Amino acid sequence: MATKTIEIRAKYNSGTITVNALITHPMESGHRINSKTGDTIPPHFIQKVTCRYKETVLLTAQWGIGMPMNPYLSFSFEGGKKGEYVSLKWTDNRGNNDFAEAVIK
Amino acid sequence: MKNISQHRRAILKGALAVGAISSIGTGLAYARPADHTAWPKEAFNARSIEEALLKLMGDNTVISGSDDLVIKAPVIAENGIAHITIHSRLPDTESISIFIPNNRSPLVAHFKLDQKTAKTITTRIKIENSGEIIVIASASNRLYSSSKKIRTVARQE
Repeated sequence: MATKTIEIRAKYNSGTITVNALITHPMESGHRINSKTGDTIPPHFIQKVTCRYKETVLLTAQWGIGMPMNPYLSFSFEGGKKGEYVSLKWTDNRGNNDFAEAVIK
Repeated sequence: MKNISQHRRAILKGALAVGAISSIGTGLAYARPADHTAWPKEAFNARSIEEALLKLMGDNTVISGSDDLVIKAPVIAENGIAHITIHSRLPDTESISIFIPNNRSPLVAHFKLDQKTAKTITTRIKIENSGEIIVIASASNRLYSSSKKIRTVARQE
Protein backbone atom coordinates (compact mmCIF):
# COMPACT_ATOMS: atom_id res chain seq x y z
CA MET A 1 0.00 0.00 0.00
CA ALA A 2 1.57 3.17 -1.17
CA THR A 3 -0.82 5.54 0.53
CA LYS A 4 -1.58 5.73 4.20
CA THR A 5 -4.82 3.88 4.97
CA ILE A 6 -4.93 4.05 8.76
CA GLU A 7 -5.74 7.09 10.82
CA ILE A 8 -5.11 6.13 14.46
CA ARG A 9 -5.11 8.20 17.64
CA ALA A 10 -4.65 7.24 21.25
CA LYS A 11 -5.54 9.58 24.08
CA TYR A 12 -4.69 9.23 27.77
CA ASN A 13 -7.24 10.31 30.34
CA SER A 14 -6.90 9.38 34.05
CA GLY A 15 -5.58 5.85 33.56
CA THR A 16 -7.63 4.97 30.51
CA ILE A 17 -6.41 5.16 26.94
CA THR A 18 -9.00 5.62 24.23
CA VAL A 19 -8.01 4.47 20.77
CA ASN A 20 -9.81 5.80 17.71
CA ALA A 21 -9.10 4.37 14.28
CA LEU A 22 -10.40 5.06 10.82
CA ILE A 23 -9.34 2.84 7.93
CA THR A 24 -9.65 3.86 4.30
CA HIS A 25 -10.88 0.82 2.43
CA PRO A 26 -13.59 0.20 -0.22
CA MET A 27 -15.11 -2.74 1.73
CA GLU A 28 -16.80 -4.17 -1.38
CA SER A 29 -19.33 -6.82 -0.43
CA GLY A 30 -19.27 -8.68 -3.76
CA HIS A 31 -23.00 -8.08 -4.16
CA ARG A 32 -22.82 -4.71 -5.90
CA ILE A 33 -23.26 -4.46 -9.67
CA ASN A 34 -21.42 -2.04 -11.90
CA SER A 35 -24.28 -0.11 -13.53
CA LYS A 36 -22.33 0.56 -16.76
CA THR A 37 -21.09 -2.93 -17.53
CA GLY A 38 -23.59 -5.02 -15.56
CA ASP A 39 -20.75 -6.98 -13.99
CA THR A 40 -20.62 -7.88 -10.32
CA ILE A 41 -17.97 -5.93 -8.45
CA PRO A 42 -15.75 -8.55 -6.81
CA PRO A 43 -15.59 -8.68 -3.00
CA HIS A 44 -12.77 -6.72 -1.42
CA PHE A 45 -13.03 -6.23 2.31
CA ILE A 46 -11.01 -6.28 5.52
CA GLN A 47 -11.22 -9.59 7.33
CA LYS A 48 -8.99 -9.06 10.30
CA VAL A 49 -7.86 -6.17 12.45
CA THR A 50 -5.38 -6.53 15.31
CA CYS A 51 -4.62 -3.83 17.86
CA ARG A 52 -1.57 -4.15 20.05
CA TYR A 53 0.00 -2.41 23.03
CA LYS A 54 3.58 -3.67 23.58
CA GLU A 55 3.27 -7.47 23.47
CA THR A 56 -0.42 -7.52 24.38
CA VAL A 57 -3.04 -8.06 21.73
CA LEU A 58 -5.71 -5.68 22.98
CA LEU A 59 -8.32 -6.54 20.42
CA THR A 60 -8.77 -8.81 17.42
CA ALA A 61 -11.63 -8.01 15.09
CA GLN A 62 -12.96 -10.31 12.41
CA TRP A 63 -15.11 -8.50 9.92
CA GLY A 64 -17.53 -9.59 7.25
CA ILE A 65 -19.28 -7.79 4.42
CA GLY A 66 -21.57 -6.04 6.90
CA MET A 67 -18.89 -3.49 7.68
CA PRO A 68 -19.25 -0.31 5.64
CA MET A 69 -16.74 1.51 3.45
CA ASN A 70 -13.98 3.22 5.45
CA PRO A 71 -14.64 1.38 8.71
CA TYR A 72 -14.32 3.06 12.08
CA LEU A 73 -13.37 1.47 15.36
CA SER A 74 -13.01 2.84 18.85
CA PHE A 75 -12.15 1.13 22.13
CA SER A 76 -10.24 1.82 25.32
CA PHE A 77 -7.87 0.03 27.65
CA GLU A 78 -6.11 0.47 30.96
CA GLY A 79 -2.48 0.31 31.95
CA GLY A 80 -0.70 2.39 29.31
CA LYS A 81 1.32 5.58 29.71
CA LYS A 82 1.74 8.74 27.68
CA GLY A 83 4.51 8.45 25.08
CA GLU A 84 4.03 4.70 24.56
CA TYR A 85 2.72 3.20 21.35
CA VAL A 86 -0.47 1.50 20.24
CA SER A 87 -0.56 -0.24 16.87
CA LEU A 88 -3.16 -1.45 14.40
CA LYS A 89 -2.81 -3.88 11.54
CA TRP A 90 -5.45 -4.91 9.03
CA THR A 91 -5.55 -7.70 6.46
CA ASP A 92 -8.14 -7.99 3.69
CA ASN A 93 -9.47 -10.90 1.64
CA ARG A 94 -6.88 -10.27 -1.10
CA GLY A 95 -4.02 -10.51 1.36
CA ASN A 96 -3.30 -6.79 1.37
CA ASN A 97 -2.42 -5.32 4.71
CA ASP A 98 -1.34 -2.15 6.40
CA PHE A 99 0.13 -1.23 9.76
CA ALA A 100 0.20 1.99 11.74
CA GLU A 101 1.29 3.14 15.17
CA ALA A 102 0.11 5.98 17.36
CA VAL A 103 1.81 7.65 20.30
CA ILE A 104 -0.39 7.81 23.40
CA LYS A 105 -1.00 11.52 24.04
CA MET B 1 4.71 -9.10 17.55
CA LYS B 2 7.81 -11.25 17.96
CA ASN B 3 6.07 -13.83 20.16
CA ILE B 4 3.29 -14.36 17.69
CA SER B 5 5.56 -14.73 14.69
CA GLN B 6 7.76 -17.19 16.58
CA HIS B 7 4.69 -19.11 17.60
CA ARG B 8 3.46 -19.19 14.03
CA ARG B 9 6.84 -20.39 12.83
CA ALA B 10 6.73 -23.20 15.36
CA ILE B 11 3.31 -24.25 14.10
CA LEU B 12 4.48 -24.06 10.52
CA LYS B 13 7.59 -26.13 11.23
CA GLY B 14 5.57 -28.72 13.08
CA ALA B 15 3.04 -28.88 10.30
CA LEU B 16 5.73 -29.27 7.66
CA ALA B 17 7.36 -32.10 9.62
CA VAL B 18 4.04 -33.91 9.82
CA GLY B 19 3.53 -33.26 6.12
CA ALA B 20 6.92 -34.74 5.27
CA ILE B 21 6.35 -38.04 7.03
CA SER B 22 2.86 -38.50 5.66
CA SER B 23 2.10 -39.14 1.99
CA ILE B 24 2.37 -36.30 -0.53
CA GLY B 25 -1.39 -35.93 -0.87
CA THR B 26 -2.07 -35.43 2.80
CA GLY B 27 1.18 -33.48 3.16
CA LEU B 28 -0.37 -30.67 1.17
CA ALA B 29 -3.29 -30.51 3.56
CA TYR B 30 -1.01 -30.38 6.59
CA ALA B 31 1.07 -27.60 5.09
CA ARG B 32 -1.74 -25.19 5.93
CA PRO B 33 -2.25 -25.60 9.67
CA ALA B 34 -5.53 -24.75 11.32
CA ASP B 35 -4.84 -21.30 12.68
CA HIS B 36 -7.18 -20.35 15.51
CA THR B 37 -6.99 -16.72 14.48
CA ALA B 38 -8.00 -17.47 10.89
CA TRP B 39 -11.05 -15.74 9.45
CA PRO B 40 -14.09 -17.95 10.22
CA LYS B 41 -15.37 -18.24 6.66
CA GLU B 42 -18.19 -20.66 7.45
CA ALA B 43 -19.56 -18.40 10.19
CA PHE B 44 -19.54 -15.38 7.88
CA ASN B 45 -21.20 -17.36 5.08
CA ALA B 46 -23.92 -18.71 7.39
CA ARG B 47 -27.48 -17.63 6.56
CA SER B 48 -28.84 -17.73 10.10
CA ILE B 49 -27.60 -16.54 13.47
CA GLU B 50 -27.87 -20.03 14.95
CA GLU B 51 -25.65 -21.51 12.25
CA ALA B 52 -23.17 -18.63 12.43
CA LEU B 53 -22.90 -18.94 16.22
CA LEU B 54 -22.33 -22.66 16.02
CA LYS B 55 -19.52 -22.19 13.51
CA LEU B 56 -18.03 -19.26 15.40
CA MET B 57 -18.30 -20.31 19.04
CA GLY B 58 -19.07 -24.02 18.74
CA ASP B 59 -22.27 -23.46 20.68
CA ASN B 60 -25.56 -21.66 20.16
CA THR B 61 -27.17 -21.80 23.55
CA VAL B 62 -27.78 -18.16 24.32
CA ILE B 63 -29.08 -16.46 27.44
CA SER B 64 -31.18 -13.76 25.81
CA GLY B 65 -32.23 -10.32 26.96
CA SER B 66 -29.22 -9.67 29.13
CA ASP B 67 -29.40 -6.30 30.92
CA ASP B 68 -25.63 -6.32 31.31
CA LEU B 69 -25.10 -5.98 27.60
CA VAL B 70 -25.96 -2.45 26.55
CA ILE B 71 -26.37 -1.37 22.92
CA LYS B 72 -26.37 2.29 22.04
CA ALA B 73 -27.63 2.81 18.49
CA PRO B 74 -29.81 5.33 16.67
CA VAL B 75 -33.48 4.50 16.04
CA ILE B 76 -33.03 5.38 12.38
CA ALA B 77 -29.96 4.40 10.36
CA GLU B 78 -29.46 6.99 7.65
CA ASN B 79 -28.19 5.58 4.35
CA GLY B 80 -28.22 2.14 5.97
CA ILE B 81 -25.27 2.87 8.21
CA ALA B 82 -25.45 3.02 11.99
CA HIS B 83 -22.89 4.17 14.50
CA ILE B 84 -23.20 1.79 17.43
CA THR B 85 -21.64 1.45 20.86
CA ILE B 86 -21.72 -1.82 22.73
CA HIS B 87 -20.89 -2.05 26.39
CA SER B 88 -20.68 -5.26 28.36
CA ARG B 89 -20.98 -5.27 32.15
CA LEU B 90 -20.67 -9.06 32.22
CA PRO B 91 -17.64 -10.22 34.21
CA ASP B 92 -14.84 -11.79 32.12
CA THR B 93 -16.22 -10.78 28.75
CA GLU B 94 -14.02 -12.47 26.16
CA SER B 95 -15.68 -11.55 22.92
CA ILE B 96 -18.45 -9.46 21.44
CA SER B 97 -20.19 -10.33 18.16
CA ILE B 98 -22.63 -8.25 16.14
CA PHE B 99 -25.40 -9.96 14.17
CA ILE B 100 -28.06 -8.52 11.88
CA PRO B 101 -30.61 -11.20 10.90
CA ASN B 102 -31.88 -9.15 7.93
CA ASN B 103 -28.46 -8.78 6.32
CA ARG B 104 -27.31 -11.23 3.64
CA SER B 105 -24.46 -12.20 5.91
CA PRO B 106 -25.96 -12.06 9.44
CA LEU B 107 -22.59 -12.09 11.17
CA VAL B 108 -21.23 -8.56 10.82
CA ALA B 109 -18.25 -8.49 13.15
CA HIS B 110 -16.62 -10.46 15.91
CA PHE B 111 -14.31 -8.81 18.44
CA LYS B 112 -12.02 -10.68 20.79
CA LEU B 113 -10.98 -8.67 23.81
CA ASP B 114 -8.00 -8.79 26.14
CA GLN B 115 -8.42 -8.46 29.91
CA LYS B 116 -6.78 -5.01 29.76
CA THR B 117 -9.26 -3.83 27.18
CA ALA B 118 -12.42 -2.09 28.34
CA LYS B 119 -15.54 -3.97 27.37
CA THR B 120 -16.81 -1.14 25.20
CA ILE B 121 -16.58 -0.97 21.44
CA THR B 122 -17.78 1.70 19.05
CA THR B 123 -18.01 1.04 15.34
CA ARG B 124 -20.10 1.61 12.23
CA ILE B 125 -22.15 -1.15 10.63
CA LYS B 126 -24.25 -1.58 7.50
CA ILE B 127 -27.95 -2.26 7.97
CA GLU B 128 -29.52 -3.59 4.78
CA ASN B 129 -33.15 -3.63 5.98
CA SER B 130 -35.05 -2.39 8.99
CA GLY B 131 -35.02 -4.89 11.79
CA GLU B 132 -33.02 -5.98 14.78
CA ILE B 133 -29.39 -5.79 15.76
CA ILE B 134 -28.41 -8.66 17.99
CA VAL B 135 -25.25 -8.49 20.06
CA ILE B 136 -23.87 -11.66 21.59
CA ALA B 137 -21.14 -11.60 24.20
CA SER B 138 -19.21 -14.56 25.47
CA ALA B 139 -18.40 -14.39 29.17
CA SER B 140 -17.32 -17.17 31.56
CA ASN B 141 -18.05 -19.79 28.88
CA ARG B 142 -21.63 -18.65 28.41
CA LEU B 143 -23.25 -16.65 25.64
CA TYR B 144 -25.42 -13.65 26.43
CA SER B 145 -27.47 -11.67 23.97
CA SER B 146 -29.16 -8.32 23.77
CA SER B 147 -31.02 -6.72 20.88
CA LYS B 148 -32.20 -3.39 19.58
CA LYS B 149 -34.59 -2.44 16.80
CA ILE B 150 -33.36 -0.15 14.08
CA ARG B 151 -34.97 1.36 11.00
CA THR B 152 -33.22 2.30 7.78
CA VAL B 153 -34.31 5.19 5.58
CA ALA B 154 -32.28 4.75 2.42
CA ARG B 155 -30.53 1.58 1.50
CA GLN B 156 -26.91 1.64 0.57
CA GLU B 157 -25.09 -1.40 -0.73
